Amino acid sequence: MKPTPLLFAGIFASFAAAWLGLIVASDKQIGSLEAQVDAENETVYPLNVGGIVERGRRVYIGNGCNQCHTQFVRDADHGKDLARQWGTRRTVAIDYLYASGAELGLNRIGPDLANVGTDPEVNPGRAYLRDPKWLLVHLYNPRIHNPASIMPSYAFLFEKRKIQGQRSDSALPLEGRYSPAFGEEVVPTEDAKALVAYLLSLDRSHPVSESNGGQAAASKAK
Amino acid sequence: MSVLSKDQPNKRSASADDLDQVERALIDASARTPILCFFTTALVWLMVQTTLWVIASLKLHWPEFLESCSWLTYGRVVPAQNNLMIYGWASLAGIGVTLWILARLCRVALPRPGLLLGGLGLWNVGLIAGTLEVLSGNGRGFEYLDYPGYAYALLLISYALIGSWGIVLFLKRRPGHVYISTWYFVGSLLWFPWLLASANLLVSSQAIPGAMQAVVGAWFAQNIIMLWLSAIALGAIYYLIPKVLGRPIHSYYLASFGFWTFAIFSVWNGVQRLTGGPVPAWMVTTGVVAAILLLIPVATVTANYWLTMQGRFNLVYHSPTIRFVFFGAIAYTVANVVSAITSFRSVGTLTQHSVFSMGLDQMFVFAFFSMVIFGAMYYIVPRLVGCEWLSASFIKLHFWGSAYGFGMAIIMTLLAGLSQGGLENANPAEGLTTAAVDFMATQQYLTHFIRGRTIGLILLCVGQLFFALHFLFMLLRLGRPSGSQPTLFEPIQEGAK
Repeated sequence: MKPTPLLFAGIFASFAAAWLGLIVASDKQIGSLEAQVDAENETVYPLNVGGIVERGRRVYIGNGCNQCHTQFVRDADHGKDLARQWGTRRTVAIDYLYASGAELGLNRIGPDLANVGTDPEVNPGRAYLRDPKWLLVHLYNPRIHNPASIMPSYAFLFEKRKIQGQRSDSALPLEGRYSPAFGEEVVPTEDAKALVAYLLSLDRSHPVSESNGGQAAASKAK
Repeated sequence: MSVLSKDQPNKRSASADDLDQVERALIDASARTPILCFFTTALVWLMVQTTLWVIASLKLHWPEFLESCSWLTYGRVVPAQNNLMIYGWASLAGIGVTLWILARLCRVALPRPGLLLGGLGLWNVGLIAGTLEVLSGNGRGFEYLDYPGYAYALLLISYALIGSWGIVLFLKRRPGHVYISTWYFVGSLLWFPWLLASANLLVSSQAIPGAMQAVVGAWFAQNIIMLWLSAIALGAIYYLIPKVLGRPIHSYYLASFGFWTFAIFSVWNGVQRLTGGPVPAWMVTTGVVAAILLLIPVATVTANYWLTMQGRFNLVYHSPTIRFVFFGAIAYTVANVVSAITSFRSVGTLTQHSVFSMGLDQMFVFAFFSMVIFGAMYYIVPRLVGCEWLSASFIKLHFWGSAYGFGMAIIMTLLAGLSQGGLENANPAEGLTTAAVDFMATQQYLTHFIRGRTIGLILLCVGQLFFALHFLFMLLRLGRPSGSQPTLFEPIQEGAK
């Protein structure tokens, strides 16, 4: 065989083999998942909420939150995520049915966020995260809660304005050197509210069936 | 052009040499404008991405730095820098090197340089649009796929103009043996569009669930570096080391075996980045096995470049090209071995969500690929501008800034990553309760190491500035006259090997 066709055929075949064997085969398995319907409890998991949560997802990804935060709970064989109460079970493919693959996250410079919105009675760790005001203040300037934090300040998602009449309900409770000047208040923009709504929607505690990768028992926490 | 005089057989070798020189001069003349434009654009993007790199590193231990500027928030700067590193600096410089070496190996002049320049212009439009989108908060969050889909579509359209030129060169080549570098370049030219187009489509699609997108994202991130960029750099290594040394590759059979094992095993890599993740275990295992099998072509390349250099290692002290290329070649071996080690679950669970994996990618792109490309540029540019590099000192400063600067940055990054992963996965049985190893402790260690990384990156930035300035001198034809010895670090003694 002449060298040119052989070279092209080899280059094509080597790539095609992996393309079919890895990407296409993966797509067959997890490319067309469906929400889990639990007929007994009449629940559907996950729910495609849309609206403000979807807007918040775009703010989360667009600001690169996934560069420092994961949403990737591993079981006890792979890490201490469950011992840190980052979730009640490991995350599985169906948890990201309506999410973007980007949300899995690239780095853990900050803690995992997969279960920020989980009911504290189900997952007792980090109950303070369920308070929207706490989250808003944290986004405004993380060093208010933790002076040693290296998380960036997202003050550009907020608006400093003069108090008109009464203080707004959504104004942030800031004190000391972080509080605005007298007569001014700091209120979240729609993007900030959307981001908090998105964070509070993050709940991967719903049990998943065996076929979706869950275990028969509730969790594998050790 | 290859017609030899029949009337004067005793003068045949002299006229054959002259004809070769004329042919090379014609090829270089045809390549001059487009390749220099590619290199110039690539260097501009190199300076931009290095600046963003330093800013991102600073923000990691000094979060108040430029904090009021939303366009420079850490989460936007990092994707902008990563994409400019791959598509701005690495791809454009790599394509420039590919086209020149292919033109020389195929002994064909570059056709229609105007279309190449058109492609380059459109490519830059895609890059600028993508960067602006990411910095204004519209990134997609996938590694090296952060730009909105249309920006990559622009890159692919311009690639159709640029990349097809390489294939045209190959198809129009002079009959004869097809050298190993040509195989790597042709492979890279064909793999790139398939990789980028398919990955871009899949992560753009709303119909694909997140877990599948994550698989595609991990596969793409690994292969854009370890398949596309690596193939270009390997082709350059196989061309430059024998060229400068004046001796053939140690084992040609080993080289061709290495190419095919590289082609077959590389593409299965990637999903080991998601170990422990929401994907079926077989996908992760495939990646681990592929990473180990990839050590076979790595071993063949290492054996080849090491044994080819045998007895001439001292050239590293004389030839800028050899110094940069050899450094890059060694980095290739080290980076691949580290990558294989981190594929194992026990190590991968420590490094996967730490700056270690980010640092390893950057080791491939900078310590391996970029250093080889610098070496190639030190070889190619004098042949395009017609004069030699002005100052050996500038080259030394570039080398030390790059080697020490990046060396320091990568050591700090890898150590930071190991401490991050180690603390995060601390075993309660060893006396530390998990709650006690709280997240702030992890962050404190991280910031100490990252300060060192910032210093290293600043050194690297200074080194690149010297190179950019030196390149500008060459563009202005401010160099030593051609025909004399090439610019060396130290002159080679007469009679020395």
